[in-house]
Amino acid sequence: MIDKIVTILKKNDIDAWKIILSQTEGAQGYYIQDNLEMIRNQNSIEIDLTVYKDFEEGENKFRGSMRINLFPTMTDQEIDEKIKLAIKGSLSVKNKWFPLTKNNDNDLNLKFPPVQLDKKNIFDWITTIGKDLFSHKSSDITFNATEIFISKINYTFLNSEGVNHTHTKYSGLIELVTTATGSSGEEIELFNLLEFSDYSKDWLDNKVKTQIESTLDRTKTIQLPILTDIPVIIKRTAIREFFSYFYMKSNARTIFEGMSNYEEDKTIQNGNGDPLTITILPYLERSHFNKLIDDDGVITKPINIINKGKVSHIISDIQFGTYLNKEITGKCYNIKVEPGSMKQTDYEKAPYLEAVEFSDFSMDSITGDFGSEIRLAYYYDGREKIAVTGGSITGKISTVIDSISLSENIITDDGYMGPEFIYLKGIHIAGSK
Amino acid sequence: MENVKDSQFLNLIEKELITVIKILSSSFDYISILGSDITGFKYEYSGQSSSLTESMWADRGFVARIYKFGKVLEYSFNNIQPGDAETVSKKIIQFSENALINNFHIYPVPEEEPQSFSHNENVEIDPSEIDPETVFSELKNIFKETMDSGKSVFNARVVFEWSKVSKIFLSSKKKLKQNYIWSQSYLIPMVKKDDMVKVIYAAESGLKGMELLRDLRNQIKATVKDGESLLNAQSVVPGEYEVICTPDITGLIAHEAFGHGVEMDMFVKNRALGKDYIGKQVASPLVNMRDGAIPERHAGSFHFDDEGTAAGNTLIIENGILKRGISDLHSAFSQKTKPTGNGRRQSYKNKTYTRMTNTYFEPGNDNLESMLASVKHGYLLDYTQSGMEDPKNWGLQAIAILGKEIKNGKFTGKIISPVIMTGYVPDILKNTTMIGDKLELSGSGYCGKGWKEFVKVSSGGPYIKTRIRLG
Repeated sequence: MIDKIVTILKKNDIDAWKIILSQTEGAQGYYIQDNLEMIRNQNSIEIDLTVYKDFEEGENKFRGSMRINLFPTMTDQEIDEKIKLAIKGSLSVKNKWFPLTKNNDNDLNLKFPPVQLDKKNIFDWITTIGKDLFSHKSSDITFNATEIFISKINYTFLNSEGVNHTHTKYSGLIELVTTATGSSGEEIELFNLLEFSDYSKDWLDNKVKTQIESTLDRTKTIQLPILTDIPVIIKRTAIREFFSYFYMKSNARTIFEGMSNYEEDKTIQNGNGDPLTITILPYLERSHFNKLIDDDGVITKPINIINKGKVSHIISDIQFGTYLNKEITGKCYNIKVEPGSMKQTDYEKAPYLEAVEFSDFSMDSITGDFGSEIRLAYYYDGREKIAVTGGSITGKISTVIDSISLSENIITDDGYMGPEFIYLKGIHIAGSK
Repeated sequence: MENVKDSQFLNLIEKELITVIKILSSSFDYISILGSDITGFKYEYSGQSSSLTESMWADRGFVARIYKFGKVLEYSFNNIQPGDAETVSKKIIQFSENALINNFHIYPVPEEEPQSFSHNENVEIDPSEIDPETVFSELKNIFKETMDSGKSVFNARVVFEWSKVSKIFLSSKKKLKQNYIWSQSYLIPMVKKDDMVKVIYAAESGLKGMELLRDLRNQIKATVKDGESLLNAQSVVPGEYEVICTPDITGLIAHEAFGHGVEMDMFVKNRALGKDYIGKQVASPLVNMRDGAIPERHAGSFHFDDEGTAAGNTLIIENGILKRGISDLHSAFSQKTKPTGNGRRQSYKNKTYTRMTNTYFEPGNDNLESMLASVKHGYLLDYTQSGMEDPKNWGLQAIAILGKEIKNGKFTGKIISPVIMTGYVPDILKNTTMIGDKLELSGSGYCGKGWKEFVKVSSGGPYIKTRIRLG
């Protein structure tokens, strides 16, 4: 298929092109309780083609582009027509010129470390993971509507500058829904989406145990009371979303479009809080964010974006990095945050709200506003720790950044390695009477 | 008006798919094939850069659903050429032999009546016929007018996206075809004061074409004004307030608070509290709520769903009483009801779930002026940011970008942002005391089931007055 496309591309008047091909073999298992409801197979070939056309106006040089999808069912004539459409479209996209990634023969052998998922057929993994999961079933907890997806993807990137790279990767997902019954007979559930690029039973056991514990605690909750002026501690999956703000602010495109004022050596913290040090990593064990090369074919590498409260590097993709005259770093998505100075015992002496499960914790990466409804939190009133639910927390990065405290112990989760908790002051808590 | 054309590809491959069904009919108790051919493009313009890409919804592929001894399997694929029927059939049989050894939840074979139809929607300005240069020229004009509309505007993004959806559903008794175009457009002004940056948006959507951009242009001045007001916004003092929801926020509540809660596949899995409230009061008697791909023609519309069930129109809440849920084939069977035409999938690569289409509260008798005048101290909430469902526990999380303070029936000029609405869904709906007289729908976003499985929907309603906890 690729040879056919490249032949047609060469017959057309194109200045440059890139192709990303993903060939996927996927297995999907859907459960009602611990009974399979359906098994699905996915067998697909997806091709993204971007064509580039260069043009000049006066002394200014532009590179227009258009990205199209091609399908294996297309005839040569259909492919040719669509490429011609893309050429025409690219001439209406007036972007300042930027180069494409050049070939580097030394990089052709890039590959991910061996994974457990490669040791069995993807359909067998559905059964294995199902068994591992349901072994946690008890009289207190039921698993409901579990979904397990495993995909094996052969990924190819090539462009007109000679980059030609292929690797295999796995992608996995478990939708984990746990249900428990409260003392007055009402059923409570929690659900989480676990994404991964490799599987381990120990990893799943830990995830499941934590969720079971939280589900049981949620059966004992009271409504979040009205609280003012107490610190909020954020834990688990919301932490990565919290730090995604700094990722976006350090991004070349965000800066180029005026939505971020980050530049190297800019101080972003002034205060007594723990200084932030944040690095973006291409690879973390089991992370579904792992990338060997980015969508421009740039080989990914660690990028230290914040160092002790100062911006140290900008995440530069090839287009917007060129516009800003920055070193091209490529883009990867795992976030590593250096630990801070706080122990859990440091905050446990005075009232606090420790939020662990949210409906959908969201961070506005432009304004720095963040918040969510609380599904499970623990409120310590100075005497006892009570499980609470409902209500919400809201805050602003500009309010919390100077006094932020980070835990000294770290965790590794999907796409994140860093402090186990963040301790924040100045958060609005909306409870009920 | 122009008639949306058939997919030539689906017409070409139809014979092959019918052959696959014939070959497999002797091996399975039932087989259907859904074929999709979705094309479309997304145009994006801002001051410093622009882009033209295939729409994220563009796709071409097939899914075969097969039943054997009550066990259900699906085989999704996108590589079939004329003459390939036998090869594809063999692959499906091979897949089924390995998969069917497992224990399954048992479903009956779908009972189908012979049915054959083909629908081609009309569109005023077919975007597939418009030169990209012309589209960008329109976007550029909107951009310029936006930049000139406020002193604080430092950039803006203008987006136009369209998708032409062609689908074919085949089984031994059905042959259904549909072709329609939906479009959406966004205007995203960015405003700045010192280091503070704020972003707001206007959106248009529907079973429309390029004509959407005319409607977007009409929103420029009001959107920029609201965006600039965010630069002076304050945090809300947490508490319960009287609120007037714009149709956009009414739709968010209809969708998140109740729409997800009546998706009957969640009843089957005992994941929705609504199951226990059928026939009971869940809202103020003023409240009526519907979901349906017909009769409203909007972004969530179609003529048949992804299981070959004709589009429906379901009255979910009638005078505050929860009457019924919405369903796909399997959830309707399990709940002993008729399928409502809500079996939808993100693409041929995904499973069908019960999903909303166009979901809305029906209009009432109040006008906006009287609603505003009735507020002692509260907020007019506008601009959806996000929402998340909790059908099992009926908790609401919805975020509005801004709230305009009202005291004694008048706007004070104070703006709050962002605004998180939380609460117990029946309380919010029972607190509804006034309902506006005009229905408005919006379908510029997409809907997920949890955090995945995205489908195109619309939601809306009239202005409503209720009480909600804000934070």
